[in-house]
Amino acid sequence: MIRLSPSILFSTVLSISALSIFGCGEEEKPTDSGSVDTAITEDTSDTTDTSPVDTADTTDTDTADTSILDTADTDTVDTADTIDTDPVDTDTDPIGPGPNAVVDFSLPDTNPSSPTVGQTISPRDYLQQVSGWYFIKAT
Amino acid sequence: MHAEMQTEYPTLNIPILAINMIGTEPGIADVALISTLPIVQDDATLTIWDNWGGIWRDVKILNAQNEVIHTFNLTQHNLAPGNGFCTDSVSMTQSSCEGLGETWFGNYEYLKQLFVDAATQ
Repeated sequence: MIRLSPSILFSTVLSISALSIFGCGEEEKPTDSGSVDTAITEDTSDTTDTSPVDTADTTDTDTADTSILDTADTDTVDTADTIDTDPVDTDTDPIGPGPNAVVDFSLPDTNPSSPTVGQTISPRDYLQQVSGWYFIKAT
Repeated sequence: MHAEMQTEYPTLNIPILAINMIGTEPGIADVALISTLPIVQDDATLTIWDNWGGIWRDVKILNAQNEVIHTFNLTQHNLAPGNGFCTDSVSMTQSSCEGLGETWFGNYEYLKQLFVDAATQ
């Protein structure tokens, strides 16, 4: 049996306590930092993984909606508008000759002093307006 | 009268045209000296005067459907100043007409008003 003196025993216990306080603290810091950095990187990867799924969904939805709605809406509205417009135009067509309209003719303007000399004149040119006709003997 | 109506009622745009009697074509050159109205020449094929029932110096007013709404003859109703007719159909002057309490219409003003009324109905 080795007998240790009380002074040696005290110094040995003191050394072991000092090592456990300072020495162990310095070794744990690098280990903790590495683990944390790696974990953050992996979390980012997880986020990236999620994004493609979202993007794909959004892209698919937009394309499908645009194609169907635009095509369907345009065709239907244009066709309907065209059909609606035609009957309106027909309704506003000029009024034709009345049941007691004078007999029509088409003759040239023979007055050399008239601004319309040589141009064809017909009473039907004056539908939609009042006109005066003077019966003359050019003597 | 045509020029007056164009000036006084420009939006009404009332044209006045002439239909010349068959056989009087040579006189158009003389008419051209005093008038700028457009003139068409009637002929034996169209017989416009007969078809329209027109006589010399008739002014026929057509509505917007080419129907005759007024016929005013300028031999019966001379357009020279002072000429007109009375509502009693007897008085020959404005003074005598109005002296009897009747209404006098000058021919010129009356015909002009026929055009304006027809165009504004």
